[in-house]
Amino acid sequence: MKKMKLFVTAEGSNEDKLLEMDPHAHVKEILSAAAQAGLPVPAEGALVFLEEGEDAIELFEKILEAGIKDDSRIHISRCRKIRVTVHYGRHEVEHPFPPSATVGRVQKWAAEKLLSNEIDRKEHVLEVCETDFQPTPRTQIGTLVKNGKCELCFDLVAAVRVEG
Amino acid sequence: MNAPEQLRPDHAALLKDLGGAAFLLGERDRHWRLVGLEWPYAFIAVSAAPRANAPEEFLFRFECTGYPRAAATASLWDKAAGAIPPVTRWPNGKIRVPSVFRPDWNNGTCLYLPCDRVSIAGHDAWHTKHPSQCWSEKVGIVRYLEVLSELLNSSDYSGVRSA
Repeated sequence: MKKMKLFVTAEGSNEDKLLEMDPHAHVKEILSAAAQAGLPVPAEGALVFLEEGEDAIELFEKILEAGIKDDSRIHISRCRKIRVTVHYGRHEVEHPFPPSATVGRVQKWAAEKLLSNEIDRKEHVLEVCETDFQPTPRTQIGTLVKNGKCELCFDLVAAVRVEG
Repeated sequence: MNAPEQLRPDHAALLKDLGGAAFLLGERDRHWRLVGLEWPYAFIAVSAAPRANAPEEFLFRFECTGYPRAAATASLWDKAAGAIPPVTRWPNGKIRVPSVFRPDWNNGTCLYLPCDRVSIAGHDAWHTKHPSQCWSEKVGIVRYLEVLSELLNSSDYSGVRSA
């Protein structure tokens, strides 16, 4: 059977890798392939998530039977959930997201909670607290965690125009 | 037998990134697609949110000499005409989009963005004001594409100027 192409990211790393996997291999083998490709796969407790999945995939299931398809996006993390806090002015909201959730998904959720105007919601972006770093909407939040700590803090800020 | 032609390092680096996971993931998600490569130019179409009388995507010509240490510089492009399209076909918007697609900036030969090689010159403040939009040698052309994709799918984007 033809090998599957998988887009893989890992906890705390902003690198994407393209891996070719045998669909009959076990999900666990994605971990060793990712480590071999240079991703920082945790030595213990690593879990595998599909991009839209809420829960980790069973490691001893076969790739083909675990809902993974050709071109699927996979994230490797020790966090089952990441506690995300978003600040906007004096307001704050919090929610647990799977590490494979994208910044775009979190932004949409936070904007719906914190902003009443629909146009405003699309003109605000997430900025990592105490930095000026605004990750792109397709960034998986698990890639932003530091030292395996399963929590993230963002500020919801207005997208500003380039001038000057 | 002739030895295979050796690619320049910047050309080879661009090819590597165009075949890399970050670029291909954007293609998978239909954020952009590679239309052609004629070194030092890469022609890449970026998808835009649906708007009345506006195209589904805009084509850009990226000039990539010195890639990835040097940022790319890009303009809108009409491949059939081999030229920058007329201003009436440029993306428009309320505030952010028209501040990037400026016919008065270098005659439209580059975009007014921190990730553009030509535009960043003389704009040192952009490094601190817009760090997430500045060129990154590590991220390469995907940085420029992500900035364009965000703009063309924002609520600020309203379609083309003629609409």
